[in-house]
Amino acid sequence: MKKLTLFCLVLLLSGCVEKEIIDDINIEVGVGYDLAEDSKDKYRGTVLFQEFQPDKSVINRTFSGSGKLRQDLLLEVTKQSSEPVVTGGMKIAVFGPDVSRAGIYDLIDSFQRDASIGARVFVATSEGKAEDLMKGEYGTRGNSTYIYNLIQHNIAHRDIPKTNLHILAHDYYQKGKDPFLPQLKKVSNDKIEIFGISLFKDDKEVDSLPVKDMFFFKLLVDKYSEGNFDVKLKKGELAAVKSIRSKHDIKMSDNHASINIKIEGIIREYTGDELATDVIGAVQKNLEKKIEKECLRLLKQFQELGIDPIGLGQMKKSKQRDFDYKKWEDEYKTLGFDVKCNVEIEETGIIE
Amino acid sequence: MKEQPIPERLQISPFLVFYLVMSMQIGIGVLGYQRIIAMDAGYDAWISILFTGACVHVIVWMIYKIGETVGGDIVTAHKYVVGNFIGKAICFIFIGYFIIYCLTIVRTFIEVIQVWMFPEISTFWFSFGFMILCIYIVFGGFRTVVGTAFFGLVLPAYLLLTFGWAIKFSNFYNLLPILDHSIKELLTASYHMSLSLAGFEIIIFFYPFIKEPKKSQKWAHLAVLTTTLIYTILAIITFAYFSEDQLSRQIWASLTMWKIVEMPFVERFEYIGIANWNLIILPNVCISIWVASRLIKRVFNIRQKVGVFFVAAAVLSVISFVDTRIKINMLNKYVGKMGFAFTFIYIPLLFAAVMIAKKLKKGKNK
Amino acid sequence: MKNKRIKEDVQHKEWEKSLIKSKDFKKIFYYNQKTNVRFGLTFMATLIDENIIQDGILPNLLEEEFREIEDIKQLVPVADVQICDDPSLIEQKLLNGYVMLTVETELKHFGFIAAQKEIVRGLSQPEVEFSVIGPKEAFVESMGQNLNLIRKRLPVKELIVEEFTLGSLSKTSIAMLYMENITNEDNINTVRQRLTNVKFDAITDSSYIVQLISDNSNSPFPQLLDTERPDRVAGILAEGKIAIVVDGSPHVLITPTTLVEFFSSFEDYFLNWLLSSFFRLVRLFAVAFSILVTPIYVATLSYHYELIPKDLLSTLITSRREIPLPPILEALFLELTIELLREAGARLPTKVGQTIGIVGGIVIGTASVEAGLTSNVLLIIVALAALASFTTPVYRMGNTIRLLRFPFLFFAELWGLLGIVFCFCLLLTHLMRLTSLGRPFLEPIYPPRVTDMKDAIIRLPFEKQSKRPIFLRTKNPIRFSKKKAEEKKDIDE
Repeated sequence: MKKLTLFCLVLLLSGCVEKEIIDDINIEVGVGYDLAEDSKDKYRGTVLFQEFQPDKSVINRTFSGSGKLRQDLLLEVTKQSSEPVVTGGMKIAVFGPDVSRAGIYDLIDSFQRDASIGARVFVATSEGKAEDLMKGEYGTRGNSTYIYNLIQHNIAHRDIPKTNLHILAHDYYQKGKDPFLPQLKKVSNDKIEIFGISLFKDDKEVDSLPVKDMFFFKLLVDKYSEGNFDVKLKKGELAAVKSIRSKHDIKMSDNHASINIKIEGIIREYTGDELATDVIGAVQKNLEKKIEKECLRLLKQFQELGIDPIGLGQMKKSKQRDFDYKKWEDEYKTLGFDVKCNVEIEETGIIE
Repeated sequence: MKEQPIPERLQISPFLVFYLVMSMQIGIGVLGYQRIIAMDAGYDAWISILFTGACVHVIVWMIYKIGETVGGDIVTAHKYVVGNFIGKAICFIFIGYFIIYCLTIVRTFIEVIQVWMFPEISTFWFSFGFMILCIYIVFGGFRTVVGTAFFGLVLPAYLLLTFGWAIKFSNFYNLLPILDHSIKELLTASYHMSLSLAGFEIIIFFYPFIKEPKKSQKWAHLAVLTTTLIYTILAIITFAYFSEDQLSRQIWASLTMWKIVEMPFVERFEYIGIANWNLIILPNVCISIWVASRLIKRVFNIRQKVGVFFVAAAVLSVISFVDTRIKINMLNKYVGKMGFAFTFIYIPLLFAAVMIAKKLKKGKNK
Repeated sequence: MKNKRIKEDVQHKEWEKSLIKSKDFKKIFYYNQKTNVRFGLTFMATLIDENIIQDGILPNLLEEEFREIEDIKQLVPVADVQICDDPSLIEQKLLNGYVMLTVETELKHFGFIAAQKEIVRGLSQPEVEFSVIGPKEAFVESMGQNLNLIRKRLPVKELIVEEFTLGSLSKTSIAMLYMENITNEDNINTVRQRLTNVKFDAITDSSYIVQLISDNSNSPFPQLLDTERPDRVAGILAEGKIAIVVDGSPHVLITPTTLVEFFSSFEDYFLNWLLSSFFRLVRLFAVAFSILVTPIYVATLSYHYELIPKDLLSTLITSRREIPLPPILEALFLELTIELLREAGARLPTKVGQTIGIVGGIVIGTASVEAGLTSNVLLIIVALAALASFTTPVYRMGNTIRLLRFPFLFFAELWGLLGIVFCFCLLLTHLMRLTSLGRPFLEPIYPPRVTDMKDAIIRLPFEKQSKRPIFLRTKNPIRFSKKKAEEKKDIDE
């Protein structure tokens, strides 16, 4: 018994590790990066904290700092914070336009190296300065929760393709595939909207897609997806189609990529008189045509930019041994495409 | 001196060999073997795992053949081949091997803790606590050690399911095309894989403790098969989850994969995983302490308890000096090489020697 | 010859010397009316039933023809009448409630007539192991009564009752019960050996025996099961275990036992197997919950903020905002409060105890949250954990479980989740090393015995229980031979 007590005492005195008691730390929940105005520092980071009020409402607090490295920023922020800053609770990271154009590799590397940062962090670009985006007052549950949920439900049910820190890193390191990120825009002081998709070549942003292309982009990028699209018919009627399941299938032959898209959807809304069988047929036809046309346009656009967010290079590699990525880059410029789409409307709601 | 047979109440049922072998094979290596094998054979490395697994079966068969012929453990085998004195001298090396093996596991685990959980945890004091736990286990006798192996395997088995979350974010095209690498690359990867699959060789040390050794052979083979499959499946999931260049940067790929796990009540799983890993490496350490102390007993004819204290003290006195990533890596590398030499070179040699000695002895008897 | 006589007299005097100091020592002489033989009755008035002397012994001895001491066997209508010539027995017999009869003509012989006053409490309902369905009788303090209850349930000749007398002062009679044709001989010998080895002066309850014959007396785990249900004892005797009945204790001990047995209530056998299996799982979950939940709270809040889901984070932070104590002290404070309440409740009469429980639970709990000493989240957790610890059907195990929480708390404070797993490893090792009568305590979990799982964590239907547990190594492992399986019938046949 004496031995046991002694053992416990010794352990308690010497084996103890530093504590991070939940209410004595400042949990970083989001961060935004811009380029610093002073060229001596590289980044200007804005760190977002939450302060919970006794009635459980959240006050957003932001601290900004400049530095060459991510750790410098944290150090700078710690100087202003009343409690030690910890990074394990980070949920979102937003890159300002200048940072994403200059390259985000250093920061991604830093995120990957930090054991406390999760893989489900949402990374996004912003249309304006990231600092401004962070400094709004969105929703009642805190900015980070607002932005996180915004992106999450848009991935699950709308038009943002699957993305998070892990997918970003995966695509970045994957040869024959380029990363992309959702783009956010601060509309007013209490609202953010999804503005499009930023397309990257290596770690630099080269272009962005507008919201109207996101539906087609998601069809191309995600193997399975859900999404919404409005179809215009000849007489001007509109039909809102929700795709329940979609599946794409890419076949690579010598110098040609053929993409097959299959959509099973339902009609949610229709502005015409009666949703007859032939109208459904027309909706299907129109949608197919539209998708084929738009997807082809996107593919051509990527080809011109020399980027490959779909991962055609990786597809090709998986069919061919001793694949040479150098040669592929040249081949990609002359690659031919065709897109085939098959839409099936399964239900039309509870009235005809 | 005639060897005393092990009394039956101390022996274990044949099927427990399954847990012993498996828990010894699955240890700290699971956390990061994917990168090491992918370095050579890229995403074809899973083939190498299967190949290594097949080789292991052959060695297990040899071990059983040796055990059967000499009717005892490695000390008996040595005595059978080269006589008492030299035999014991060779065993001396194995005592050192198992002490270093034990040291490596504990130190690597502490490194994981230091990197992922508590950067400032004291290496010495944690291993001190850990050693006390191990001594407590080993003092309970071989049955308790086997019990630790059993629980160290069964209780954390649920961890396998958690890798299911990674499948949702996996792209199995990464694995294609199959056989994109040369045979030589595959063999190098097999060599590296052998370090992770090692551990089954302990059968030769506890052979006399098995109730009906013959019956246990199928369990040993089943254990090796299961381990190989687990390693293969995990490697395939890892390869699908990471892109190749990304994996080459992940020191602990399995731990990084846990970052994607999200449950309603747990946001980040890797902390639970690491804590659970304590239970997985416990049998590794306990079995090697048991083997080392048993060898000490057999070689020097002293009480096993003294041997246990000696091993624990040896580990504790060295562990504080292994303090950097580089040193830990080096330690791992040397232990790997020693393990490879022991399991894949020494055991076949011993096997051949025992077979020859058997023939000779038969000849003499005639 | 004369010397010897004197010696005996001296001995005779010696026991009398100390007994005569007691007020209740009585020695009375009578003359038989027919033969005029003078005889004496010696007894301890407080131990004997006067009615037996008045109605059963005296009238016969006075009025019938009584010449020599042998006659009493015919004259006295009491079953337990002994005649012996060993004066050393006198003291013990007198103190066991016998009436000693001496006849003047035969000083060397003593007659002993049993006239114990039996003060027996009436049968009552089991209180600790109460069950809604099933038999409602519980053991009482009298061994005779208890043996009667058991024998009635197992009326076979194979049920053996061996008796021991232990305790240099208490002279407690202890009975060891087993089925001759089932129970393992080694087990019986071990129990017999351990019982005879017991060195203690006053054994007043069966819990003394538990602590005295346990394999490891330094373990917080009870290694003998105690029960107050005769049906349970009959059930386990049929399985091939050994029961120990201690005179003066309403709890009968069962050995060898396993850990899972402590979590199975005997009521499980009265319910359908699906229900009882479910309840057993609930109980096991409750145990794990009760031990682990407070340490996990401490570990997560002190070290692993990353683990907490973001929706829960606000609740936790706001509830802890005003609290000056670190999580560990907060948890210890509440755990000790609960222990205080339990201890106070257990010592007080039932009605007062209930009031204290309610007052303590509600008033102290709310007040301490409002005073900012503890967080309300922890209050819920601790209260639930305490509740869960009371689901264990065996009271002793419940105590153990409450104690186990504290080492876990210590390690949670030390190394967070890692510490909890570390402590769990310690606990597991301890359980693995523990034996009950030399049989592994964790069986059938380790060593893993699939066939014994039928009545461990879950309970399979009785048709599947055709064999006795392996770990008991019974002489007759078959409970009943399974009927040859009926041919499988198709639907509507």
